[in-house]
Formats: sequence, structure tokens, C-alpha cells
Amino acid sequence: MNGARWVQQQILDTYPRAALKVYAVWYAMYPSDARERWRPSLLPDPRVEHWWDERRVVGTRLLKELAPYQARRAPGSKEFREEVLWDAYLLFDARATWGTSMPAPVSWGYTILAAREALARQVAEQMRRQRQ
Amino acid sequence: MISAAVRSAAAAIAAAVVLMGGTPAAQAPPATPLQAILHSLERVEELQAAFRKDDGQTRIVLLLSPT
Repeated sequence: MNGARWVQQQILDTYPRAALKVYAVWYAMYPSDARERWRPSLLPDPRVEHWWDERRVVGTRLLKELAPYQARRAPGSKEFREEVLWDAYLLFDARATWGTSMPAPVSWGYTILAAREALARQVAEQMRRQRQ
Repeated sequence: MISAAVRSAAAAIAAAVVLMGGTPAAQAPPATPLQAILHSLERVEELQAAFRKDDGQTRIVLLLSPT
């Protein structure tokens, strides 16, 4: 939740006109979690698409897809030992294409707040490349 | 050349707008931000399709819980 707010304030608000897209995939990880608890005010930017993943298929699948990309785990990111990836980000550059498997991320991090400095730095680098 | 009738009509419209309290634009309701929608996702391929649709952009996938 705090990670979502941080992305809105420090990424999306910082680059209001950038060609930047965010897919926010929400699912229940705590007993108190439910679709009805979703708060659109955390990530109100129109460049965000929100999805509710009842069966947590994205967190399960992307954790497996990330296996070859352990070296791209962001500095500051914590070790992840669960079966469903969550409170995490995956950053992809403009050239990434998703074919039969997920493309290589520029970086990924867990938790979002723990890896936020790397995410901010790498998004800034992507924005510089867009302007060139 | 603008005819006297057209000028007269324009003046009448302008006067009516002033009487109503301002310009038509000033009467429009304030814009409200678009309300975000929470789509249901059943398969990873739905995320994949959205990702492909936005090829050419920097993209971030966030995996989140609501509380």
C-alpha cells in the first residue's frame, strides 16, 4: 500500500507527461485483504491500469519467470522466499516485448519501498533515453 | 463584411451571457478526475496483452495487496 503511494508520488507525479505505463495487480495477501478494500486514491494516475487477481496467478507466474533474472534484483531489495511474489515491482524498458515468456526486466525489487532508490534511478534513466 | 443584423444578434447573445453570470465556459461544471476501474484478471495472458498493447513505452508491473 505504501509502495503504491510512493510510485504515484515519486514516479508518476515526477514524470506527468512521460510515456510510462503502470499495471497494478492487486490480490489478497493478508487476512484483512479483499477486493472491496482496494483504494483507487492510492494510484489515481490515468496511466495506471488496475487489475484484481483473485487467484494470485500473476504473483505466482512472475516469480517463476524471474528465476533467470536474479542478477537484476535491485540493490536494497530483500530476499524473497514465498510462493507468491507481492509488494514488488518489475521495470521494463520501451523495447521489451512479451512473447512466449516474460521479457527481461531492467530490474525488479521486493519490497517496493526497500528497492525504491534503485527504481527511481532506473526510471530516471529510462526517461532520459526517451528524450534522446 | 458583417451585416448589421449579425452584429445585432452577436450583441444580444453577449448581453444574455452577461446577464446569466458569465461566459458559457464559466457555466460548465468543474471537471472531475476519471475514476479508476479495477478490472478482474483471470489469466496472466490478460496482463501480457495489455503489456503488448503498450509496446514502445517504459512499463512497470506492480504486485500489491490492498491493506
